[in-house]
This record gives sequence, C-alpha cells and structure tokens, in this order.
Amino acid sequence: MNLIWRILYRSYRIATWMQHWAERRYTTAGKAAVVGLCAAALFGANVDSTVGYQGFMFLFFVLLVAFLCSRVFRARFAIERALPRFGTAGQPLHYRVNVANLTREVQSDLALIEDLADSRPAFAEWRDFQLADGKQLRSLRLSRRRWSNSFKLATLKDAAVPPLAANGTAEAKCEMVPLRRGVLRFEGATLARPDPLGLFRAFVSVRAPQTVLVLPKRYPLPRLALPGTQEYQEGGVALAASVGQSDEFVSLRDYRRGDPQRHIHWRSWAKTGMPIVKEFEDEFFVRHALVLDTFAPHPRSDIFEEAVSVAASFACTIITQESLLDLLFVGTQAFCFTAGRSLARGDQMLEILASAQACADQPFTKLETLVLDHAKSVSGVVCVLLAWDAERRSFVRKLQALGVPVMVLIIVPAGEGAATDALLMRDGPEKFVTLELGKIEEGLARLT
Amino acid sequence: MKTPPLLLGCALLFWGWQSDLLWVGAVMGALVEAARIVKQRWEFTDEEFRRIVMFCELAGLAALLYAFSANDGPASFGGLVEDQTLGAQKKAGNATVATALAVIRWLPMVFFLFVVAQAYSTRPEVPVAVGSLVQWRRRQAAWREGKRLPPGRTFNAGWPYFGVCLGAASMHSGGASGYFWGFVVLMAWALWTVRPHRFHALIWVVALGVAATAGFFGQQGILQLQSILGGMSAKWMGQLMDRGRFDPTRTKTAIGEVGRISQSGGIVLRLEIPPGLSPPPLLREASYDNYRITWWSVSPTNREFADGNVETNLTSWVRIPNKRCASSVRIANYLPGRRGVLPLPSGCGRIDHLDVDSVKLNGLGTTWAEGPGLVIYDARFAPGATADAPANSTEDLRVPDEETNSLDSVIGEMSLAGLDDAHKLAAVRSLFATKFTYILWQREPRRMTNYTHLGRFLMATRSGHCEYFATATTLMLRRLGIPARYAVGYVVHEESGADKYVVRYRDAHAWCLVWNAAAQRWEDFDTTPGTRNALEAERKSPFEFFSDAWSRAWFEFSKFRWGQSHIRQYILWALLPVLAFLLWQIVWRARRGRKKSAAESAREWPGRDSEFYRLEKPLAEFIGARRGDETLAIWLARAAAEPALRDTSVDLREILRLHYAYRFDPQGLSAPEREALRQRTTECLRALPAARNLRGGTPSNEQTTGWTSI
Repeated sequence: MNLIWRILYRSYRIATWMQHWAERRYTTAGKAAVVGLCAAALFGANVDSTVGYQGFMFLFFVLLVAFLCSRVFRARFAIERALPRFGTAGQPLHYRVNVANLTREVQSDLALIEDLADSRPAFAEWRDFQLADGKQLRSLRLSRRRWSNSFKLATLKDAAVPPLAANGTAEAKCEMVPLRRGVLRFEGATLARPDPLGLFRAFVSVRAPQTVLVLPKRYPLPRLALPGTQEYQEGGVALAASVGQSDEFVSLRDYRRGDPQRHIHWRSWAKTGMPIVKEFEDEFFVRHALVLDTFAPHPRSDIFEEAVSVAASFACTIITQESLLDLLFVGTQAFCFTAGRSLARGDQMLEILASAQACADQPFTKLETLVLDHAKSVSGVVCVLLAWDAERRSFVRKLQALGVPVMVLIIVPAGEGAATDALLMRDGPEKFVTLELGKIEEGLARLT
Repeated sequence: MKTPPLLLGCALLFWGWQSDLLWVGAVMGALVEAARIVKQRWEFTDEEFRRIVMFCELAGLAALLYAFSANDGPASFGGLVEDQTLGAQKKAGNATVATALAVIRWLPMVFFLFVVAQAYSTRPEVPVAVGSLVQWRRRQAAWREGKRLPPGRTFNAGWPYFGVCLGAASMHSGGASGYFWGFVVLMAWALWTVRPHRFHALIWVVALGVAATAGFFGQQGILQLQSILGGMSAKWMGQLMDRGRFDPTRTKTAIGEVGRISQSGGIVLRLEIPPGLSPPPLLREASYDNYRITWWSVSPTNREFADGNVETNLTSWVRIPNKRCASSVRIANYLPGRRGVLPLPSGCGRIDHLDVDSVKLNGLGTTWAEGPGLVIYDARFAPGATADAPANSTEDLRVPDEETNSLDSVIGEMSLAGLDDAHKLAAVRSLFATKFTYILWQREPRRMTNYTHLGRFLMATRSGHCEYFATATTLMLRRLGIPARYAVGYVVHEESGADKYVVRYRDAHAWCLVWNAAAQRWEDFDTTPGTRNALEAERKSPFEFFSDAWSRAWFEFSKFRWGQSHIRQYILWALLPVLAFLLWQIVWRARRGRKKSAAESAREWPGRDSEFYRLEKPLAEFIGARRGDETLAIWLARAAAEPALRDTSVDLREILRLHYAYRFDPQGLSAPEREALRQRTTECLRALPAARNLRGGTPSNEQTTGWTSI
C-alpha cells in the first residue's frame, strides 16, 4: 500500500511540476497553440479521413522553433522588492519591484514572475492530507470541486516590466493573492522574455530571498456585547500597573514603558528628575479570553483555517474595544498571549494567529487546563471550536460551572446542520452559534 | 483581445472552401465581419448569452444525432449486441469516426449564432460562465442566496471560434496542400497580432518561415510513413478484419477446432409464410465446391458474380427463368455494411419486393445483394431446378489426396458394390445416422495420429458437428462418383407466432448438395443426425427472452430505419421545427424576461414609481426641457422662479427632496412622507395648467424634450 502511495506522490509531484512549468513557460498564445496541437493530434491521427495532421505538423514546428529561440537569452538582472510587512489571506497584495538591467542591451517585453518557495509537502504530510481529505468525500453524493493543488500558497500575476535601458532600472508593479496564512517565502524572481513568435518564454532567474507574513483572513463583525464585567486582578499581575481602574494607592515606582500618563506622579518627577508613577493595589478591568481550538483532524483542515479566521476577526474587534484579550491555544505547547489597551497590539495578535498550527500530538485536556486556570481572571470566554463532541461539551460545562460567561462558536462543514445544546441555548441562543463553512460571514453577521 | 479585422471572415471562408460549403462560409464570414461596419448593437445580458449558448449546444446535439444516424451509427452499434466480432467492432468504430468528423465539420455552423451575437453585442467579451452549465448554475445559486459575486472572467469568443474553424476545415480527406498553406496563412495572421515588438519583423518572418517549411515537409513525411506502415499491416489487418465477414467465395470450417462450437442465440432472420404452408427446412446462403484442409472455397470457374435479372418494377429478381414457384416465404435479413448474401430456400426461382441496388449470382447459386442494411423480400420457390450451375465432372468430383484413405476405409464398410446412386445415397445416410453422433464438443486428441481432422472424424471419433458431416458426406459421395457440393445456411425450425419463424445464429448449418443426374438438378442431402436441433435447443440461454425482446425492438427500429422510411429526412425535418421553437423561445423568453424585470424593478428599486416622473413632461412643456448641463435641482429652481408658479403653493424643492429620498435613500420614505410626495405632485400637476394659462402657453423657442430625470 505504501508503494502505491509513493507512486501517487511521485505522480503528484511530476504533475504539479509540469503544470507549474507550462503555466510559466507558455504565453497565452502558446497555450492555445499547445491545445491546438493536442486537438490536431487527436483528430488528425487518421490521415485517411482528415488533413488535421498538416495542422499538427505546422503547430509542432512552430512550437519547436519557439522553444529553440528561447534558448538564446543572455541577460543579467538584479531586483529589489519593496514588500509590505504583512499581507492578508485572500486579499491582493500589491508591491513594487525595482529591476536593474546589468547588460548593455536594451531589454523590452519582459515580464517578472515571482519564484516562491516550493510549497509542496513531504510525502508523509501529503499522504495524511489525502487520507483525511478522502474521508470527507461521501459516496454517491455530489461534492464541490476540490482544489487541484491544495498546497498552493498564492496566485501570482506576471508583472510587466517597463523597457529597460542599457544598465538602466525600472519599476514593476506586482500583484499576488496569498491563499493561505503564514510566512510566504520568496526565493527570487524570474525575468521572462517571449520568443519572436510570442509563444514560449525564455527565463533568467535572479535570487532574492525575502518573506512576508500573511495574516489570517478576517471577517467583519458587528458591534458585540461580549459577556462578563470587570474583574478583580490580583496585584501581582504585571498588567495591573498599566491597565484598569485603581482603588488604593500602594507606592511610587520608576516609570515603565506603557504606564499611562495619568499615573505619573508629577511632583516626584520634579524632585528626582526621573519619571515616577503611582502604583495601585487592586485593579479591575475587562479581560476576555479567546480560546482557539487547534485540535483539527488534519493539519490543513478547512475548518481549522476558518476557526483561525474567526479568532482573528474577534482579536481585531475586541482589541479595538477598551479591554484586554487573552488568546489561548495549544500548539507545540500551551500558549497564552495577552493584548489590548497599552499591551500588545492587534497586529501582534494576528501575527501569532498567522503562525498557529493544528495540534495533533496533544490531548484536548491541555487546552481545558490552560483555560480553566485563566478562567478566574477573565470576564468572559469566547470559544472557537472545531466540533461539538463530548470533550468540548464537558469543557464548556466546566467553564459555566465556574460562573464564567461563555460564547461558543462552532465551525462545521458545509451542509452539516447546526449543533444544538439545550443548556447553552437556554442562557441565550446568541451565545451558542454554529458557523457553516462557506457561510461564515453570514453567520458572524448575525452575532449580537 | 479582439481578433484582427477580417481574420474571422477569412477563417470562415477557408472553412467553407475546405468543407465544400464555400457559399455558406462566405455568407457566415460576411455576416461576422459586417459587424465592423454596422453600428447597430444589441444589449445582451448574461442570461441571454447563456440561452444562445444553450441553443448552440442543442443544435450541436441535433447535429450529433443526425450525423450518427446518417453514418449507420444505430445499425453499427446495434450489430455489436448480436455480433461482437472484430469486424463489427471496426464497423462501429468507423461509424463513430464518421459521426465525429461530421459533427466537427459542422461546428462553425453550430456556434455561429453565439459568435454573431457577440460581434453585434455592446460587449466586447462574454463571461466564461455562460459556456459552462456548472459555473452558471453556481453563480445563479450564489446570486439567489444574495452572495457577493466576484467579477467573472470574460473571454472573446472570436479566438476559440477561429480555432474551431481551422479544426473543422481539416475534417476531410485528401493529400492536397491547400489546407496546409491556408492554415499557415491564417495562423501567421493570428500570430502577428501577438508578436513581441522586441524583435524585428524580419526575425519573426524567418522564424515562421522555418516552421512552415519544416511543417510542410513534415506533413509529407507523415503521409509517406503512413503509406509504408499501411502496406506492411494491410495483409495482417485484412486477415484480422475478415474474420467476422461472410465471404461467398470461401469459408473456414470449424473442423479440427477443439472445444465447444459456440454460436449465439441472437436472431439473424425472421420468416413469415403464407397460412397453411410449411416453411422451407433449409435456407441456403452459399455453396462451395473446392475443399482444402478445413477450407471450402469456390472454384475459379464458378467464382465470378453476374448481375441478376431484374424486372421493370426494379424489386423483382428472377433467378430461374420460367420456373413456376408455388410456395413463398417472406424473409427479413440484415445486410451488415449494406451488402451480403441472401439466404434462400432450395429451388428459389424468383425474389419479389427486394428493394436493393444490385443483385448478383455466382455459378453456385449464391445471391449477393447490395442495398439497405435490412431487406425484407419474398422468396418464391418450388422443388425442382435450382440456380446452380450443372455438375462439373472435374470440380464436383475432386477429393483431396490426404482424405482418400480414410474415405475409402469408411466406404469399404458399406459394401456398395453394384448399387445405383439412389441406393448409395441411402447407404451413406444410413451410415451417418447409425454410426455417427452429433456433438458440439471436440476433445483434444489423446495421441498424435497420421489422420487429418476429417480422417480422425471418420476413423476415430465418429462424432462432430454439422460441418464434419457435410464435408465428409460431400467428399464421400465424390469418392463414390456422385457430384456433390458443400452448402451453408440455416435450419428453419423455431416458430415465433402464427406462420412466423425466427432463425438464430446457432441455427447456422452445413449440408451437402448432391447432383441428381436423372433429373439434372442439385438436391439438398443432409446427413447430420436429427439430434442436432435438440442439442442446439439445449444451448438456449435462460435469459434469451431479454435478447429476443431487444432483437425485436431493434428489428422494428431497423424496419423504420431501412424499410420504406427515410429516417434521416424525418430527423432533419423534425429537428427544424424544434430548433425554430427553441429560437423563438429564446427571443420570447428574453422579451418576457425584460418585461418581467421591468415590472420587478419597480418593486426592487423603490422610487421607480415615483409620481415625480408624471410631473416632468408637463413641467418641460411649461418651462422647456432640462438641458444636458442642468441638474434636476437647478431645473426645478428655474421652474420655481417662474412668476406663474411662484405665486402658487407648490414647493418644487420639497417634491424633489421627497423624490430623491424615495428614489435613492436605502431607508425609503415613511408612509406619511410617501403620501406627501403623492399629494404635492398632484397639487403641482393641478397648478400647472393654470400657471400655463397665466403665462401664455408653451414656450415657443425651447424644446419640450430633453434630459430625463433618474
């Protein structure tokens, strides 16, 4: 069986390589010529009945001449990208690339094609993905078309390079659409020149490694009234120095970056010449926990990706409100990141979410323990879950037992009915929401 | 990207020239290119484009059905059910190829409407989704769900159509280079438009010239290669293909073959006899006079086919002149490939109602016909003379040397010395009836002997199927000095309703023809034991009912197809009104759609039914039409400034405010506001005639028509 998987994997690599090669090498006219060649081969094979073989031979030699002409392209270039720091999955990413001609010849009709790092997975990951993907197929049922290359990171558009004078430079406007969150690695770029017939392109590759972080896709959220009130934060919490409302003055201390201006003790500053701030004992502020379920059935699960997007949408929205947000999830270990007010910014939270990976080697109880430990200091918990099974139900029940207001968002595959839970829905159906793949935006828009 | 001027027209002209539809191509090309001159344009919506594409697809389907029928597709594929030999497969393959070629040849006509619609539409390109039912349905569903749709990809249908024209033009045979050079010129024209300007035009010309020259010699090389390969394989392929075809000049018997003789239960002939008469026991297809190691063939003297005698009605064929034939049988027989032999009863002197192109006879009475795929004819017969040539003392008495020993041994068993021919025949019949058995299964010989296959049958096994009996009888009678021939055909024994009989493939039979010297005629002499029919009946499949039902259905269709009907014409004439109806549907539904959308738009876009529009025309008559540079507010301000209106209580600004709110505010008007708009407009309409009278009528120097409001 493993041998068959290896053969299939090898076929997959060859097929994707050929597709990648053909897409880059042939111009639109060239692709049309190849289609014509195949059609002529198919219908012109019977030389007694058709004269299609005549067209076949002409197209064959036209493409051959085009290919041979592409062998002669001696040029040197240098490129410099002006990349933004972040992109967003599904949103066009625009940037500029400076192309320098290092030869004494004028270069025109050039196109710039970005060379991204090979995103094809290793054998084990590919096989796991295929097995998990196959389980989702239902026999004798029509299913939506699946992407031919699920591992593609971005769709690229060829950028036209303005004519380059001898030893001159020009700026190309590039556009790409990142398809997945995470780090997008550029290895270099390829300058393509068509052959005299305009069918096949000659390449000169330039190495220029660079990265851009692709943030998760976000959905617009309505203004939410998240559950919970201000909670007492223990004095030992470092955050208390900079957020919340104080009750009792404790002492003075040196100013630390992020301390609010209103806590500055002006007189002490005047005396010492150093900024001094007042420290308070008890701190009350709104602090929400955003729990991301990372226990996906396979690493590239669509449900998990949507869960990350939903979490990112909440992270952006909650942080813009006057509160703190703890992002809790389990990756290689349990993570808790706090953002809001003068602590970390929303984009830092998105950076973390951009790199979040599905967790396959840890039990769900690890997340449960992490959240329950934090539960006493948070005003409310927003759980983004990948399923509604016994483990997750028990986890939410425990949170409720602690008296923590909970909002549960469950991502389910398209066509699967909404999950139900009488106990949770009794507290308010708007706090127990099922989001169906493909209709996430509509589901979130209904939140109140 | 647009196609260059005249490219599509020339491509259509080229297609017409190559497909022998020059005028059609010229007219189509002129229509497409006229769009560059004609300024009139039609606004087609995506939905209307989709309908046009659907019409083209239906036209393509109709073309496919027509081509399939016209190229013997139903007969070929139907034949595959009953006869799965290589020949039948090849025939079905040929029908498929011919159908595909015809449909591809007609593709420019099929999709012409779509291309013309694009050429005369206001849109330079059409959405890709209109060409794909799945994409279209998906977009429609998304639209119904209220989802935001990304702008779909569009394409210029001219370019794919150009390729279709070039491909369709190649669907003809012939080694002339006209297609090649036409293809090169048109492709060069198309390639010129995408030529990179980085290179000098001369380089482009040289590159294309090299490709064209190499292509020219390449296509000639392909022809030569095909000629060489064709010559090498012709013999081999010919042998392979001929296995499934009846050859009236020779036949390979199954003598010597090991295992079960397999014949299907498919119905091959249908017979109908006049009430009260018996059917002929045997129907002969062909006879042979020369035996050589399991092969029977026709000797050169009898091999030539001569034209049959046809009467003036062109459907009656005389086989034996002046013979009175009291009996008759109606036979329905398929002619695979529109030609084949006719099974006929012994002593058949005349064939009536045989509507074929030609009938030929050879010296051994084999009747060869060419015509439709199914013939139904009346064979008139009577005992007595046959159409066979008289006995030939050389050919009809020849016995292969290798068979003489075993034949002589068997003859020695019978003690025939001094008997006349009639007694010899009786003795032979008795021998085969008593000492030989009929079986359909041949074992592998246990040990090697010097016997031939026939010798083994006569000396060792003494059991076999009809070909053994017929061959052995024929050769034995020859050895006894009685001229004999080998005949093949069918046994008629299975009734299928009153006065109707069916003959199946497994009823195929071989027997002997013996020369009656006294009566100077050939007579059937069948020595196969009577157990034959019982044994054959045992091979009947329990599911034969289904194949019989299918065969019956196919027969009825074939009668319709090949009998007196002309299905191709029927299909064509039936398709024309259907296509016309579809076209009418497209136009009518589009019109209905427009009406519907206009009615719906009043509901979907609040404000379209605003009373303000009623005010526009009278106001224009009063103060003159709105100018192009004049907004509605300025125009109304001009009206309000009119002294005649100034004194009235009409507040045009308020009407306009309400109208704009009703028209464009997403929240629309409340009920009181809506009522206010209605009332104020009515008041204004009432006030206008009085104001006009006060002012003195329509302004003489201003137009009353101009820009309309939105």
